[in-house]
Amino acid sequence: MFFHNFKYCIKTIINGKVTLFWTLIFPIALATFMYMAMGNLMEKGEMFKDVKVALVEQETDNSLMLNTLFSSIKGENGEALIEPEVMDEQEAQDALNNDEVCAVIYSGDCHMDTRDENYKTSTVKNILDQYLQNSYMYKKIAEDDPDKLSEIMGSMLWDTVFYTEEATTDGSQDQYNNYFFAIFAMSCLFASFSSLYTTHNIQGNVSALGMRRNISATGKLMIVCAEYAAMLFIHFVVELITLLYMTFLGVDFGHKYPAIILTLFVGCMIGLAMGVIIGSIRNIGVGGKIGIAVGVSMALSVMADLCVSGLKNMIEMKCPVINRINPAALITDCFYTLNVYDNYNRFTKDIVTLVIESVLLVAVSILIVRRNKYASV
Amino acid sequence: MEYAIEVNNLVKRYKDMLALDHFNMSVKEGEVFGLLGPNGSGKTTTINCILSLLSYDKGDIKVFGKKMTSGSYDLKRDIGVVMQNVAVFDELNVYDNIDYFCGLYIKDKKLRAGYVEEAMEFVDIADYRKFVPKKLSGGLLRRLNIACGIAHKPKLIFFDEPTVAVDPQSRNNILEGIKKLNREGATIVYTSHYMEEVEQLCDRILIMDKGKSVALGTKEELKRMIKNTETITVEIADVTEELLTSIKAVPHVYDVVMRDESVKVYFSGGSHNIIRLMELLKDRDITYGRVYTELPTLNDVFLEITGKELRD
Repeated sequence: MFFHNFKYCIKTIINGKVTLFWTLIFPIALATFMYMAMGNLMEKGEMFKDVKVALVEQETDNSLMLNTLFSSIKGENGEALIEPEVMDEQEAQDALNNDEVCAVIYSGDCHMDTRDENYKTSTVKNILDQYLQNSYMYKKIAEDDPDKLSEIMGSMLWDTVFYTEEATTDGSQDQYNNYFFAIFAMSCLFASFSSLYTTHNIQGNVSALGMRRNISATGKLMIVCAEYAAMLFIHFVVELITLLYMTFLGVDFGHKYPAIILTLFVGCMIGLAMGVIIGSIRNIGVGGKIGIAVGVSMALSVMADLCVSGLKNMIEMKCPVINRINPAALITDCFYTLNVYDNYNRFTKDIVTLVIESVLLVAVSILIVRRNKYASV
Repeated sequence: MEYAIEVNNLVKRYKDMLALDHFNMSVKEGEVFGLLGPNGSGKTTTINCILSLLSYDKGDIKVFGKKMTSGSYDLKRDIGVVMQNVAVFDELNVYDNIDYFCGLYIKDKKLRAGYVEEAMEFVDIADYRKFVPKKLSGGLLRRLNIACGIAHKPKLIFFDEPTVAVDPQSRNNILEGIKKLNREGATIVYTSHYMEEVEQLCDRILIMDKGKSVALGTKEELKRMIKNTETITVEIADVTEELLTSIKAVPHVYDVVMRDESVKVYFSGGSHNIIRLMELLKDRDITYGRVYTELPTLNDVFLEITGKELRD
């Protein structure tokens, strides 16, 4: 009887295309759009490097200085970030027009020609401006007080502070990952739509299907358990597909995949539990219940920063207990802690809280459904 | 005498409203039992109490001699229900819907597959096995609803107003199907407020009103309970008081009512009443139009017992 109900629950979910859309297609589509919108920001291989500039020599000594300056700008692994190439003016313009270089720099007055403005040309322009500013200052000092030139140059060099980034954790701290964690949290909460329908359809006083199943030779608890297991299975598979897809897209989830999969499983549990409790509310039609589910999911998601950045932090300052019990906040926090912390203390706390909440919601729902005295069928 | 259902002294309250008032009912095994009453008379409440969908305040219900509770799964195995509202999954096709509901009673896959085929043949829906409910016409949907209720071969089947909003052809198919089920040995409890269906199908009929049993018997027994045995309607343009008095003097006439341009004459007993009435009109040289006679219906029974129409 358990597998009979399990099998047909899976069939109804798969054939009910609306549910599949919201739980599978929607998160995948959202992740794709988000990736397309932020793809270049996330793509580490497309950072500032291999920037080619044309250097047009004019009758000054800036040419050598500029060549030296650009060639000396190195990345963290010692690779050259800017590649200057000396050309005559015509060659340089042709190269610019053919996108072979991003800028043409004239050594005479150090002005720069570009075809469009982007972060590469802006960076080259900044370097050029700083060079002009410093060279003007040195010339001025050399003219006014040549004796102090070496002293000032020395102090400027020594006053330069180099900052280096040191990772305190092995995890990925990419801030853009939060958006993808948010998609998972939302997707998990959307599982509530499936359980809402199922819970609605098991109650004899609110649906004809519920009545037919209540008078059958199979116990209600057996049907509920089988259907909850089926929904958990299918939504978990959906989350795994989404995870695979996002990984394929290039989203960096770090290396703690078992914990991530556990988070998705527990996320599905809490999403389904929310649907179960909403589905068991009396005297409301299925349309009203869907409205409640959408409202609750969105409200919890907004409070967890899924839509408006900064709200979660504000809640943390004003009323932190909300973040401790909000399922959406807990799911995103699980992902966040997995990425930031090397230990599992906070992650474990989040997971345990989600499991307790799921069990409580389902228990309350069972009490409500069992206490129903059918007014009229 | 073996009883499929015994309901004794059943009381059910919805807050201040008394839905069932010390209600009694016994259904014999193998019969088609009709539960007739206007909307709100307590028919569905009675069925829901029997099926343990509703708790009741007082009384006792036995099915096949055993007390019926929500946990009586051995008894539920022998019960099938066809509800007024179609209760099927929109996401499953015809075969899967019947298999799912049959599977709530029958574990054995092979046995179940045979039962599902039989149920589809029974309601003549096998050609639509791959169709989802949305693709079925209203009549086919009703047939699917019946198949889902009877596929597990129950010994006791409740039909709760199965023909509401059904076209005449589908209605006849449904009624024929119910007769067939009964011939195959099933006990049928049929509730409706369509008296024609109940008359056509049922061996015994219980008429309910305000949660009480007001009459019980075969349709002939019920009709014998009332004074009226025949009603003759005659279309007459000019009806005088003298004519009405003359008609009232005809043997076995107990009432005469003038309505629009026709006269309704109520008889209690007697035979060849229409001939006597025609002779009277001929003797008095009264011009008349159409004449038709009606035998009493269950509605007349209900009307005489409760003072109101069944479909009020």
